[in-house]
Amino acid sequence: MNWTWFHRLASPPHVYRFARRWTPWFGGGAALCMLVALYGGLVLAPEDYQQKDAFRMVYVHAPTAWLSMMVYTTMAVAAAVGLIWRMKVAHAAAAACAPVGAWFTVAALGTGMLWGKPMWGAYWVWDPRLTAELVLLFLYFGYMGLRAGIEDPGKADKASAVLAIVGVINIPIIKYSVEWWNSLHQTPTVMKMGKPTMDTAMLWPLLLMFLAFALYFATVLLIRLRAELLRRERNASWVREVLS
Amino acid sequence: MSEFLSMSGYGKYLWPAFALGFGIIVLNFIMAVNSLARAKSEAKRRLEMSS
Amino acid sequence: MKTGALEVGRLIMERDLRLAFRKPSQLLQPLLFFMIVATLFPLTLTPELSRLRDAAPGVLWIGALLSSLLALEFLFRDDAQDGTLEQFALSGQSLTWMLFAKTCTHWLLTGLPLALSAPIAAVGLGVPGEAMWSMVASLALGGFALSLVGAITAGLTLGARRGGVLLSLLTLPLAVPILVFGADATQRAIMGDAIAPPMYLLGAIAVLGLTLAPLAAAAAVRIGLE
Repeated sequence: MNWTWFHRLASPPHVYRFARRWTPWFGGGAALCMLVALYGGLVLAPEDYQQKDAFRMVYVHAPTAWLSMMVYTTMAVAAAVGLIWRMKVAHAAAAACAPVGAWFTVAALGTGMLWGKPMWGAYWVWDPRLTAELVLLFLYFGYMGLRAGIEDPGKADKASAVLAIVGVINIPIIKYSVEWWNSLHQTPTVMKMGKPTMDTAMLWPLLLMFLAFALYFATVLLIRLRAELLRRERNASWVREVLS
Repeated sequence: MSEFLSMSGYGKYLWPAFALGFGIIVLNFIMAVNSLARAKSEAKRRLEMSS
Repeated sequence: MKTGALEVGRLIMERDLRLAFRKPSQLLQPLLFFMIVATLFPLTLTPELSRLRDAAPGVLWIGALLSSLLALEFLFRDDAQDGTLEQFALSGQSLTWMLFAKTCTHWLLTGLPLALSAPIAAVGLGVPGEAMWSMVASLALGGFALSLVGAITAGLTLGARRGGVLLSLLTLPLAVPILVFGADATQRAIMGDAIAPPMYLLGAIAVLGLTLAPLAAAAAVRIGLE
């Protein structure tokens, strides 16, 4: 097994150049997928039997919620890689994930509130999934706060890595809370084993939107990662070369 | 068109939800690009000072 | 000859207990804080016991959580300042085990006394006598889980600026499940229902914490000591 690709990932200049090269492609792909998915979801898809047109909020709510969890998991994995293999780039990636993930969590909570009001009659209910998503937001803030509160950058990397890993336990709670407890929030319809219970015309824009958001996250992550690497690599010669 | 905007009466929730979600997307993109621009100019300054 | 693990644990517990009893006022402060918080609710909400009873689980558990956050400050702080933690890390004994011993002692000095004295506050909140023992049990178990989780966050914030506020900010999200199940157990006790389901969940959290928290705390302390 050739591990060269993994070792290259530890090299900041290599990762920087990779990020610079691929950002436009990820970004363009994200924008294209979003536009197509929006058209498919807002215009083409038929209205839902029960929720009428309100169900269309799924096209913004579900991807942001899914991403809020995916970004945290990515952050925790990057942090673990940084701790175990002592890779600065991994720690930089984890730091880059945090603000993005926090904003997605805000988006998920906000869009969820706007969907909850017409459907359940209340902007907010203290059911397990919503509560756990709110806890996720606090975990993001705690992560960013811990990073900011520790002077030494190496210690800040490692301490926040431990925190990120400890907090990972919240992710399965968010995901499975609707199955474990009777709650108001909808049970899984897309990620169920076997056939999803959603109509195909409604499903494909949603799946495309998931892809769009994933590409978008990659875009923003690569941009922020470049910024992190520049900030950390003080006077390295590759910085000089890359900026000219 | 007005049917599209009203979204069977749910328009006043649906459009703000989309505005919020995609607004945050645009905002995050802008913030990321700014952060990179700032990092670049700081790095340039540091290089100039040390050389 | 290397000291055995049980011996190490016993020595650490004895040391911490001895040091704690030299300053008994420091032990009483979290308890007093809990009592004051529990008193503030009847003063600001309503004096009617029947309505206070509805709020009692929340009041008791929030008071317990805030009080334990205060107490968490002195889990590692003194030992970090005088270099004892560093000696622990260098000693060749398992830092995980030593921190676990410290955490258990901390619970014996803060969480357990709080649980045992909670009935005094609970009476003022309209909690019926039959519910008292169940309430004490849930607070004791939940307090133990809180101490375990707090050991992680206390270790992480050892070297941080304004560590006190940061400690609270980090501990609260992780404490949410403990709070939810603990308050549920207390609520069920007041209603006269079986408290087994939430107690089992609290127990599961405590067991999970028991196995993983000291590991994470040791990792955090080592990072802080580098």
